[in-house]
Amino acid sequence: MTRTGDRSMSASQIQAGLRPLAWNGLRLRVPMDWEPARLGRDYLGLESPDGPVMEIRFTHGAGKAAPVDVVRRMLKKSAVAVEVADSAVPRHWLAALSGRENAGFSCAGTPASRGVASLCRTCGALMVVRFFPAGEGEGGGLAREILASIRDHGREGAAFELYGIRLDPPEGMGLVRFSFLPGRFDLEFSGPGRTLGYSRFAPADVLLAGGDVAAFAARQLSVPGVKLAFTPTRWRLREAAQAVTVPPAGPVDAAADVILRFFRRRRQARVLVWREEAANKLAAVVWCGVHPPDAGEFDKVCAGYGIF
Amino acid sequence: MGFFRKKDAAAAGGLTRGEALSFVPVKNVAVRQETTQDGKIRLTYPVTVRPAFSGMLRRLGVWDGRPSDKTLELDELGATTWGLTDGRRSVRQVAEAFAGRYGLGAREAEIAVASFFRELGRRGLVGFQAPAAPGDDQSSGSAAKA
Repeated sequence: MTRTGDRSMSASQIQAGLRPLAWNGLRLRVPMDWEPARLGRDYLGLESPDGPVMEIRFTHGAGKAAPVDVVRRMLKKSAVAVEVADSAVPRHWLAALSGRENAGFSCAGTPASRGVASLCRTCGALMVVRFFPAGEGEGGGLAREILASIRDHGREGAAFELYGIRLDPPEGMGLVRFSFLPGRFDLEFSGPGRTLGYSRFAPADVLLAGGDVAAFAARQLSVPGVKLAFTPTRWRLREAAQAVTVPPAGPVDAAADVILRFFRRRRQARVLVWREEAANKLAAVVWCGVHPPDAGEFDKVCAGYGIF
Repeated sequence: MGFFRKKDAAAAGGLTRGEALSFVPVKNVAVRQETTQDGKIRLTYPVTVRPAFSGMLRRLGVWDGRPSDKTLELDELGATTWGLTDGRRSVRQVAEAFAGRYGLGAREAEIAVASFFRELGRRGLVGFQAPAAPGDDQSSGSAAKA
């Protein structure tokens, strides 16, 4: 067998052991036992059971900044020895990010690390990827496959896929808040005149003990300035509860509604909570805005929220 | 950028996450366990009152000098974790069993179980035994203060 054959077999073996991961529009494939350990809106830090393995910082508005300058600027206050040169990383790492402007770098220290800053000249998406020794794999092969799998722009695949949730917020909505606490995950997005929140609760059998989804939702979910009344329902064959802002009753209330909406003071909400029996988890979507959320669009958003 | 200024816990003399998860939680033998009528687990454990406070209580004849008891009622998740604490399983193994029981992710279960043990350790309900080095007898592991 040729050396090329050996290498491609090794690459396919590595790829078979990878799973998809996505965070705020950055999509990549990582080994099964790597989990996000530190998150920021433009940052993803991954750990394996052995410790830190990889970090990525990314932005979509880098303009025409040269990756070499970006890395130099980032590392100029570093206390450890730094080398910014393509020779600092294996050549196949840079080749994995073909079609982009790349700069390799390495940092001494404990643990040592090396990585690549990469810019898409077309859209200005910039990412700085750093691997620790435990994340590089043999001969840097694992890091190469991960780099080749990274997509930091476009909308192919879900924008978020981690910790057993998968979602893709509607276009124009940006992440404003997130929290991953044991038992409860929350992500909140904001767009023109509306906010959209996704939540996940677990374990469902414990949280629902002695009650139904509607009672649970009334305890756990609230929207400031909006009164929510949950009613039990079924949604796509699942046990669920929903709450929709009550329309104004009577002429006085209707007039007040028009005035408050004009001054963007009245918020309308639509909330759906459902139980994912197979995963033993509860999912919730809270849509809130000045105008009442469209039922069809809301249903589409809920259907795109996967819990596994 | 922040990630280049990250503190290394191990280098600073602390434990890495992997090392911390390998410790074995051991129940305090002085803790009494009972099951309440609604099926919850109630733990009763002795606490030593602070000296200044205890001195005043002793002068007033309210306290006889013996440690007083406190109780802690566990919810279902806490009770499961407490039940998994057998003095042999490490924190990681307890977290794995917990994750399997409730269908949670490994990381989520680890954080939940670790924070539960940290709280129990703070109250003195559990201690932590260092994992035995390869080749060592299990009983020779040193106990870490909670």
